[in-house]
Amino acid sequence: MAGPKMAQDMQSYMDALADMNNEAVEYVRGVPVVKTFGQTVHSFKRFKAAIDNYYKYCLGYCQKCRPSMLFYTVCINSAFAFLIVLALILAVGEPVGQPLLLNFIFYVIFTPIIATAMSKVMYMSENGMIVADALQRIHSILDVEPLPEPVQGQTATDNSIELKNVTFSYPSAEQPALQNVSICVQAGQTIALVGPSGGGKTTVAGLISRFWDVDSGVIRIGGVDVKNIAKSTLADMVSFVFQDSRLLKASILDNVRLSRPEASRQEVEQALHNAQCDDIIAKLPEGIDTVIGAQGAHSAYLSGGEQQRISIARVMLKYAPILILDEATAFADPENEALVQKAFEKLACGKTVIMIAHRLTTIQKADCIYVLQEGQVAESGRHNELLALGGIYAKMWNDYQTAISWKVGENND
Amino acid sequence: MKTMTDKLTLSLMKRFALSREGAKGLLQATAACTLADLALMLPVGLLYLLVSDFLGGAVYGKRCLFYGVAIAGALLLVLLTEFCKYNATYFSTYRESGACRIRLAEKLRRLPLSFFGKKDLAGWRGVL
Repeated sequence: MAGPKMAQDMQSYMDALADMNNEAVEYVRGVPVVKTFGQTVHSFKRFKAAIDNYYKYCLGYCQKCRPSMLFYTVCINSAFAFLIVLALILAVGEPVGQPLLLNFIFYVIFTPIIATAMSKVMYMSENGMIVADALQRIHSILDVEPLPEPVQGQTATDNSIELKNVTFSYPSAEQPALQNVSICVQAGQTIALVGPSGGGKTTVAGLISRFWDVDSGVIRIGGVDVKNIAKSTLADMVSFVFQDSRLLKASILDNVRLSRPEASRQEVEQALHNAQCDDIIAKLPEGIDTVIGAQGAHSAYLSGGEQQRISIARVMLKYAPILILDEATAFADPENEALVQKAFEKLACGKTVIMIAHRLTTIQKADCIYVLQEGQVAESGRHNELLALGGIYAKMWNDYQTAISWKVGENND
Repeated sequence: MKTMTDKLTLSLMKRFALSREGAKGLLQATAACTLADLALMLPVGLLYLLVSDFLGGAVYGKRCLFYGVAIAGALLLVLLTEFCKYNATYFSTYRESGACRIRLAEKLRRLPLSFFGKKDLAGWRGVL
């Protein structure tokens, strides 16, 4: 049960196990969908295949081990045979003396101890292989290098953002996600990024907060390359609102405070008020101490738009001068949208804002609109300028308007 | 006898959340382990015999033949029972764990949707 061949087998066993675990996650996540369509687990083929694969693998492994395992068991249990044969050879035909008898009894008692020790060695080596494999998996994470930190962090002078000839591709991708993109945002301006899915909008936002480093070109915040700004400083300057903001299973107070743990209760209340959350707080049994998403009497569930407003309050509390909104209104229902919009207006006041938007009505007032297509800036300018240009944006705007009138038409029927 | 095994199977199914096949497998495995352990007592018996022979004075040629046959027989029996034990334990364990996962997944599917709001998804993954 030891040796390099077995170590390899052990690794594929671990792979099969990990694979099954991953499929289990997918399965559990997908259960609502499976349920909705009334399918059985057997149609959930991938998960079943992973289970079967693991099972088959285990069977094969067992079968492979069987001869050696049997041989081993019989061997360690056959010590008695050697003892008897040897004793007989020594003693046959003669009267048995006391020394021989004594020795024989000693060995009869002693050999099982050796067998036990042998078993221990075997199990140790098996555990050793498991540990080695687990360590390798741990190292595969530990060995990932974090982005280099500047030795001496520089401070940005203002809140302007500049991307100059930025090219970037994701580590595993062949095509660059961004190619030669240049975007300039003055401090306090609001710009919008629009364009088809996969055009690189979210990549731009991610690069500004340095989720990754650019391949070539430079990104400056307040005239300083983001690579030279300390990570914590950058985190304080830039705040992000995602389309599906996550709230933790904690009280609203703690959720909002996440962005600035030392904030006082009054500050949190003020932020919640500014983020138009008064109606949410009013309907909760324990006010801002209500735990979100937990079971029990003092808890509540919030809709997507409500969660969004709470997370806006969280961002407000942070006072970050640069704000990135990644399709932040996409999840809000119509009743919430107006409130979310109002909350955003308060939040954006006096800040540099980068908006990524699908709903084009929300970005008409932007100081500059960049249309990103296939990783490049296809058009840029104000709403009216782009409409006059009659390019991609004008087409998108027309489609969008048509879509709205369709909806209205349906309502009139 | 038949009804007793049936009853035992049922109670095992309940207690360890097994399928019928799994409970039967467990019974078989228990039997196989018992047999294998009994077989391991044969060598001890032989050693006992030899010591008593030695204490009685001397051992002669005829007796050796008996020991030779007994050793061969004991080894063969050990091999045989261990083979059964191996099959009954390892194989049926993995078969059962596969079947159990599928059963759990099926059950999850049948539960009302509200159930999934209550508990963290990560928890389910761990169970599976």
